[in-house]
Amino acid sequence: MSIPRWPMRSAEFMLAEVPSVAAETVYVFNNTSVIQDEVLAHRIGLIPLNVDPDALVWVDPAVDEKERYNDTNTIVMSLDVSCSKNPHAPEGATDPKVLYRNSSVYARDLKFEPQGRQAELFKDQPVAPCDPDILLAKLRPGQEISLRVHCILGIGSDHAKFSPVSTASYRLMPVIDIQRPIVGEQAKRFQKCFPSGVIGIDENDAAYVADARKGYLLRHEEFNGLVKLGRKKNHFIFNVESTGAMPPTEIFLKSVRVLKNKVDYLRNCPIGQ
Amino acid sequence: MILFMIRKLYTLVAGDCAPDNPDATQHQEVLLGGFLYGMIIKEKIDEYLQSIQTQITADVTRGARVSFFDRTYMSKVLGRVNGNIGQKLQYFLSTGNLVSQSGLDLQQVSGYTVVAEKINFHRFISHFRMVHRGSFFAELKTTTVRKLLPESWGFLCPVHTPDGSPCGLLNHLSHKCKIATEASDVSQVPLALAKLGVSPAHSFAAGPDLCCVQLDGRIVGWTTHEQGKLVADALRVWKVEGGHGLPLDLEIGYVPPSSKGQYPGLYIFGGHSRMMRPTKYLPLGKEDIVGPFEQVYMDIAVTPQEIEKGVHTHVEWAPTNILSILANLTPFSDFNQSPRNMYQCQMGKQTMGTPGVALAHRSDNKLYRLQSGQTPIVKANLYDEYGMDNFPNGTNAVVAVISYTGYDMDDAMIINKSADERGFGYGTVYKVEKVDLAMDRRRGDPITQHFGFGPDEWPESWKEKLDDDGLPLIGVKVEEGDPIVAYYDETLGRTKVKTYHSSEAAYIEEVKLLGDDTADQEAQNLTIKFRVTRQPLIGDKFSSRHGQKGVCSRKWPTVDMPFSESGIQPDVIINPHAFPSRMTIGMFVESLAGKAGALHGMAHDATPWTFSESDTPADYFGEQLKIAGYNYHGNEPMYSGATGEELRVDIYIGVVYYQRLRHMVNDKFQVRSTGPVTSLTMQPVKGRKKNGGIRVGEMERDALIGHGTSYLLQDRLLNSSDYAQTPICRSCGSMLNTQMSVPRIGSIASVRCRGCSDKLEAYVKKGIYVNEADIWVDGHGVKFVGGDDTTTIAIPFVLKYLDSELAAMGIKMKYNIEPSL
Repeated sequence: MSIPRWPMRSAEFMLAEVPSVAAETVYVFNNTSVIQDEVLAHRIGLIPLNVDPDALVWVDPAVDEKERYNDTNTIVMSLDVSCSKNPHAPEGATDPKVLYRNSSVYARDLKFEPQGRQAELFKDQPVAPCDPDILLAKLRPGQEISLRVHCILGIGSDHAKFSPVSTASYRLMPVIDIQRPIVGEQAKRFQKCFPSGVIGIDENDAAYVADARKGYLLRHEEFNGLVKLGRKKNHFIFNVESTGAMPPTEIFLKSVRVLKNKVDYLRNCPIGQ
Repeated sequence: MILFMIRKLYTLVAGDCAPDNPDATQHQEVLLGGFLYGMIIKEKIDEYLQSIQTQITADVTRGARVSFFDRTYMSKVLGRVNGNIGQKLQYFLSTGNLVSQSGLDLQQVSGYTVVAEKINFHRFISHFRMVHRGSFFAELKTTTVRKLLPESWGFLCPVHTPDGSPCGLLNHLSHKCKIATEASDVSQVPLALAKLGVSPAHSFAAGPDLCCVQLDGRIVGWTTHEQGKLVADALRVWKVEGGHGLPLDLEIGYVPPSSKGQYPGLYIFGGHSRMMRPTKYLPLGKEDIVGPFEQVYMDIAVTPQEIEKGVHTHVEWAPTNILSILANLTPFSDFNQSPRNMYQCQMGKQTMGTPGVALAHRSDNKLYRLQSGQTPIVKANLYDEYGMDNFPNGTNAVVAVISYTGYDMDDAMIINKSADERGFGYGTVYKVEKVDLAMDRRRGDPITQHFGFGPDEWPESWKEKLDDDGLPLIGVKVEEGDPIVAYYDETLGRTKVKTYHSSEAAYIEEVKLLGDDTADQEAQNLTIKFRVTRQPLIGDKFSSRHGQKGVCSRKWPTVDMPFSESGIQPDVIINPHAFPSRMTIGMFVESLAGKAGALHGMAHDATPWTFSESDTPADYFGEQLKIAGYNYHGNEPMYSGATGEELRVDIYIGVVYYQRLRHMVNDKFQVRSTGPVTSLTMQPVKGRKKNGGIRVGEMERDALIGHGTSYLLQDRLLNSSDYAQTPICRSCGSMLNTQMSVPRIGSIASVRCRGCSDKLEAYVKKGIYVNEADIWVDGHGVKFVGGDDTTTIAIPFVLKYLDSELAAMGIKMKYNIEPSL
């Protein structure tokens, strides 16, 4: 049985090579909050943005810096918040959210500023953070943040913020082979060794494998010799947690496309011929 | 009292009692700052009065008119003596040097103060729980004073002492230990003693056959030894009960008669500076305050389980009471080899953490701050009791114990690149620089320098970093040589700038204008706070809370890190070889507990001595892991990040709280190609600050010789060091006698040996003809003949220096030059 190697590469590409959009440059005009400029910028950079990466083209670093960014490759967002006292706050209130206005800055405060043809392009789905409730900073009256964000296309191997997934990995299909019947009380204990639903108990009080797929393999002294645990080397169960811009299936297919492109490149490579 | 002392001395000499051990906590008390200040002020006031007296006595002997009712005379006298006692105390506080006529009965004159550093909160609080034995003992060759004695149980922490020279001398108080800052009210003690049938002090009594009752070093009565024990017990019941006018912190030290033991008696203390700690008094079930003197003769059970009826009178509130604050914060320290807990106490104090809460308003010289501080998932209960969450000191990291890639050898650790990019261990260093324009100005001189731009011409580029007022823009990035503040010099009529001096770029965090005390003049001072970003770099130091420190060796890309069945990738990889010899099992337990806590969303208690042989943490947390669907033992099957295949063994992976230590490469790295040299030897200077070199010492030299790399050796020791070319005389072999001749018409300057040449006069006197071409002239115009057999050789310059030094002692060095052409 040959062990396929491509799933490893696929998982790798989902993490590191499938492009997605994230904040790259933050222009801070004013920041009087306690959070430092670079830390705030870092936090903004890590916010997953709900942008279809196919809607943008790559930024060409060879182009002169002034003309490098345009409406085809850059999304501009802005954040302008200032905190003030809430004049209608009830007496004796201590909660900053009641006492002040804008005491917390969230990802939803990032406002999309369409450039050029972007207003048309993103008409149906305006650019916004995937999760509007990510806390960015906390403010107190008199403090304000005013900045502009340039978001571009990038890949996860460059920086984790460009990764379209929180995590993407696979595991091998577990194989639970009951070699000698496990019955009665022992069967119940055996059932408890696995997540629920993996082992069933039939009418004869004997344990049987109901759904090995859910199972993580745990080893217990008691069942030595009774059961053989293993993994099917060519059955991969992928687990993809998208950050929100793309559905996991799309990310997976894109990773396969990246793989295919690389294979094609190698095939056409003069060295290979 | 003197009789008592003489009697005790005789008993000691007769060998009937043991000498009191001055190194035991039993006989010690603590010199507190307040009392020391009081003593100093008292002495200074005394000196002040003395000098006033001398003044007046001098006036009397001189026959001047002395009147204590004359205001002008009195103020004249007072004006002639220095009455600034505050200044003297200030000097003491800032230097720690004790300037005193009497010496205040103290054993040292310096080292009384330390700066309470605010590197992180652990260090800060430790400074206030620290007791030093005295610098006199530091020089002592014997180690007896440093020994950990059982008497100090519960008063001084057995774990929290530095290793190295101050070991055992610099101790930390156990966290429940308090020091009496004022004397207790003991006025009712004699009455209570009388009620208990103690005969008064003036009654006829003597000898070691009777029990002497003393209160704070005064004899207050006599009784029999049998009675003394009962009196002590009754007193204790009364003081714990309260209501008899006896203070709770009264120390009732009953020393029973023994064969060659401590001198017997009933010693009662209520004075200040005593160490005290709370325990539970069993007969009444109430709190009793115990002192170090009495503790030795008491039976205090450590846990309620080990109380034996008829033996124990007290029980500890908690066994952790013997540990200091920091030692208590080490999770599962009862599972570690003890030196590792000591190391953690050291490292906890070097951690880049949260030094304070009002960081934005502080102007400390240097401040370290961790951005990603978290509360540990695994923490001792005391962590919350001391509110350590206000000052987080590290980050919870997923740690895999695996030998992977080889970059985790020798205590190195691999950090996940993505974890780094998401802010793992990110820190900041704040530096404050003071700019003082009045530096060269003398008192009373008019102000000639003003902050801001002047009307003259100055480079427009300055405006990139500076605002219109000449002060730096907040948030701007400055690099070496950039202007940080502009000022106008009136006398020169020119605008100048101060520049940033550090190879590391920084951001301007804050500018503070400082006026002088009277605030009636233009500000001449300002401070600039710089923010230096310090993201983790290769070479930065990290540690867990178990004395396991390591250096970041690589930031490994996420895709190449191993991953578990559930897709978890470690933030940190450490090598399994870090464990066998160090035996920090506590770290494994923390990993297990951290994993269980993270999976169930709860913080776990890591107080030492909560688990036992029958109830092991491995089982406790193992069950939790099992419920969460993980392996009972904390190890998991993992897949290689390189091949994607399963690793052959299960990997121990869990969550461990990691601290970032303040030792960072950016403060330490040292490189140099060419640079400054010392003028004496022409060898590179030493020191990172001076852009010096790194010494290739004897052992390095031995290694190079051992490897047979002679070319490399020559390169290091000669060519890259003090390589020099020097003229030398072949015939006499001297290096110092050579000199350049002065060029003349017909001959160019050449190197001649002064020692091998003769003056032309001698030739002329003898009437020998000398060819004009053979004559050379020195700088004074004296003509010489000969000495032309010279050449140039390559030597280390120190050789020439050595030659000169030897010459100064009248020793000549002679070199044989080969080949001799």
